[in-house]
Amino acid sequence: MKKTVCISLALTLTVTVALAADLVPLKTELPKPVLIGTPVPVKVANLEPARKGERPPFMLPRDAVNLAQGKAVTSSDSEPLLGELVMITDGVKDGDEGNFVELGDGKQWVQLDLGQTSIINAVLVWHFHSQARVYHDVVVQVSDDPDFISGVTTVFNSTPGAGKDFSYLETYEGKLIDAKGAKSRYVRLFSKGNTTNAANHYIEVEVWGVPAK
Amino acid sequence: MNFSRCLCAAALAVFLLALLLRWPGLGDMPFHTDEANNALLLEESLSAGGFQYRPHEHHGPTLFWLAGVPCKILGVSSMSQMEAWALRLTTVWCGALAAASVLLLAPWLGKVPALLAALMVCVAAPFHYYSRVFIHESLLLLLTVWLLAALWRWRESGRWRWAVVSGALAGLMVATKENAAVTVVLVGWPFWLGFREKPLGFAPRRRDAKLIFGAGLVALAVVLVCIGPENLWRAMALHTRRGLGAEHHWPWWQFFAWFGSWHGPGLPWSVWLGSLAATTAVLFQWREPAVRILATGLAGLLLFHCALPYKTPWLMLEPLLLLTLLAGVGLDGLRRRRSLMVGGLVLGVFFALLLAETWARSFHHQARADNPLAYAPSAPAMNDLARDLAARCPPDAVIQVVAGDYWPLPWVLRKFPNAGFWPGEPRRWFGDVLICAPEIIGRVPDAGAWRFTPYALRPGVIVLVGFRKGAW
Repeated sequence: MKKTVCISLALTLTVTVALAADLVPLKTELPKPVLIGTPVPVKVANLEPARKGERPPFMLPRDAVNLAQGKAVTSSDSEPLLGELVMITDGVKDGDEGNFVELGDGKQWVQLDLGQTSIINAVLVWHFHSQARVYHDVVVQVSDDPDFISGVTTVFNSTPGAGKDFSYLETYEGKLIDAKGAKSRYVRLFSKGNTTNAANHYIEVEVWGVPAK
Repeated sequence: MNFSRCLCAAALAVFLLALLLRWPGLGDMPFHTDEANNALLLEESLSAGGFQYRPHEHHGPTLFWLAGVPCKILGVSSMSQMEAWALRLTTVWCGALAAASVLLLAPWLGKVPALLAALMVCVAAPFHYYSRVFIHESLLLLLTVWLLAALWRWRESGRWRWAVVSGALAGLMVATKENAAVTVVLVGWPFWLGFREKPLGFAPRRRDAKLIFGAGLVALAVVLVCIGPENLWRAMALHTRRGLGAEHHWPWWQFFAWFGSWHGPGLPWSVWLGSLAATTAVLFQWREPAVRILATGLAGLLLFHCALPYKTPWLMLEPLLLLTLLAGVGLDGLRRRRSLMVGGLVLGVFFALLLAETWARSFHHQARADNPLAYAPSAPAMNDLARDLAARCPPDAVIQVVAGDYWPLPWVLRKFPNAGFWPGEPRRWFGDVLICAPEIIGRVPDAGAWRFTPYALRPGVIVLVGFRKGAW
């Protein structure tokens, strides 16, 4: 009985103190915007207009898989300045430091061997997304010839004047390229520097499709 | 009807026509970053009870004084109460008044040439476009027209009164935009370049020097009153450095590419036909002092702006004004050489083509990235974002904007009092809505709990707007 009375008194005292202190929710001042000058326009001749809303779903055959997962990667720059070529197909797409491969300056390519001729529905590529930038002259080709001399099909080309596709801003979503069911074993991706520097980067490449029977 | 009544009626007609052409869809164009900055400065000046001039950021106080008048009358004191069309009305009035004010030059250029030039300022796309944007250019254009009228009267009369008016207008121009100091010198000096005609009076040079000195003192006094004596040299030094610096660095021919090239929506008829008509004025009417003064001023301004590394398209408005005045003289000369019917037909086609350009560049494709008049325009997605947020979020939603480049979002989010802006990664992520630059997205904790959608700020600049899954 004595214990109950004590607890009741303590509770009453706490509530009374809170009410007497007239407590209010904490309100903090949010940072105000900082003035800037006239923005400098982004100077990329054929930049893709920004999409409105979410990326529309891309329809694949039910049995399509990422054919590139864990597959062998070769490159015009066999000794990347940063990272290892295997990182391009390791399934990790985070934009953090240490999770990308840096190839040398100028025009460079990476090539994926899918192991067998496949029907390729889509290629998804992440060059770099921890900074808003555009990679120049991005070209994606597929072929059954590992040297890309014969039977080459270009599925994407953003080279101004040569290709019909737009250059695009790198984001965490990656660039989705419709390969239109091209039948090939090898996929080669080119780029020629970016709007920040002359180097070429890859975080991940996915090739979605079905192995040909 | 006597000359001045006739002139007043024409000026009123031009003014009303200019208003009519500038009014439709005034709030439709997404608010430019510069407009959003100006709106924030206006809010600051309204809440602080006066404009605080900061030479390193933006320009002088005159635009804010002007825009502040209707705000004070209507009791508007914060950006959340402002609307795009209402702010742009200030510059629309200036643009329409500038077109009508060209008729002040009628005694100098001639009645018909001045009317033709006024109609061109009223209709031509560059003048039309920048008078529908809440930036300083339209007010500067108006002051430039008035300065030309005052300089001419000073030159004709040699009176102190007009020297003082010219000085005051020159001071107001510099207090509007610092680079106008160059415009004042380059437009003003041809008036004393030996282009005097003896019948108009030939005042002694010593008196001229005294008047110029007096006008200079008046200009300096006006500038000092407007921006404060402590800011004058800092402002001039900063803007000189900016003019020569790497920011907005374009090649010498860039103005010709912006205003003369057929790329982008519409064709630049105002510059093509204006240049043609101005050339005929220079070739066939060079003996007229007005033509020599305007052509010399135009050449000086063009040379200066081409040589200066810093270039934005709106810097061409003053040279284009001189070109248009010359074109008015040239068009009138052409009209007089032909029959009334042919002359009328030529003028009809001329203005129809100007209107076609204005329709394409100033209305239909006003925010398109390849529109040469739209320099780093805000994307139409900014209007969509404002609409989407208003439809989806309660007004007290906490919006965290995390991006190095987030303008014009402060304008877009002005109706949300709990919107904060972080240029880098914040210590805490507590927003109901996250608006992030693409490079920040990887650092958002528990990113899977958010649903992100891209919105373009400007061509080549996007933000990702995230709503917490299941919220609202």
